[in-house]
Amino acid sequence: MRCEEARSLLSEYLDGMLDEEAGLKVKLHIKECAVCMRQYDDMLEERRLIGLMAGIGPSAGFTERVMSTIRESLNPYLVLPVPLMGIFALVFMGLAMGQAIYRLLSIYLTVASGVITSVLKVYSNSIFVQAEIISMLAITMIALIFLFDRLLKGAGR
Amino acid sequence: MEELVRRARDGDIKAFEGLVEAYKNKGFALSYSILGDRYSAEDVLQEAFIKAWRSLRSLRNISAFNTWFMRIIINLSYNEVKKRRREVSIDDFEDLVAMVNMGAEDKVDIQKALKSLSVDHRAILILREIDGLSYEEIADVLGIPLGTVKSRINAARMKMREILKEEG
Repeated sequence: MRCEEARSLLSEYLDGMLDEEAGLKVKLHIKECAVCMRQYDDMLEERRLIGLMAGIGPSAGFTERVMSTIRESLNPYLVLPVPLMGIFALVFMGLAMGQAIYRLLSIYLTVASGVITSVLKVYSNSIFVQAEIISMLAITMIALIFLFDRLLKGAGR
Repeated sequence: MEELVRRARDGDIKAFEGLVEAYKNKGFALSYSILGDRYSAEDVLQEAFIKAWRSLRSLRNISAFNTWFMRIIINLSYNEVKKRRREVSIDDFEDLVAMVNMGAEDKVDIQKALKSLSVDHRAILILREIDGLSYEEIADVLGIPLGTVKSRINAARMKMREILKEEG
């Protein structure tokens, strides 16, 4: 093998990309040829220098910053019902004083919206959260129907 | 690692946090080598992680996460380079020493090499030496033919050798 050919293959040889035959030829050549051997050694030194870059990384607290940005950007369609449910809960508490069923509902809504808020911080769009929100909305609708029913009856009296 | 990727893809934010921890240094080496200063490198890396989280659902092949994520970093970093309309400035890579422990001689060598190599050459050397990607994976990440990968890595090494020789 001539020097020119060997040098054109040195980079691939260094990376173990040559087939067995070509690899062996290069290996034998650099054993015999001091100039090509020197070039190969230079490439090894370059690899060591670039390897020093493995020691760098982003500043402390990077992971926390990324994660808090991601949590803030969670799907608004999933986060929106949470404050809405809080408002519903307050409305029920105000309007349904004395009625056991409404009190229970308002406690349930308050607790559930708190649970969902904390779950959302851990999981973004898991099926669990979606199912929970759908059931919350269904219960809210039923509660609203109860409430209107009561108001209408009150007005009719 | 594949388990983490699978869980993150299914919406587990804790698992994604594990991926951020696992990939932040490799990713940083890549964005830093292209951009040349730690602040832009960190901004781009953060953007890359957020983009990865948002589009993770579209990743069909879980074992391809590594190359998929490196491609995101490469694209964002190159966009940033284009925005600046310049390749390197005097200050580039000056903050490297503050981040890594190295001898005085190595410091001079590596800064000189990084400042003189082109963006393409820096990126391909990091993908090969730090991320340990195969030639096929590099071709996939950069969207170039395998033959170009071989010749570009070879050219980058030759160029780096020249640069290091210049200073004696």
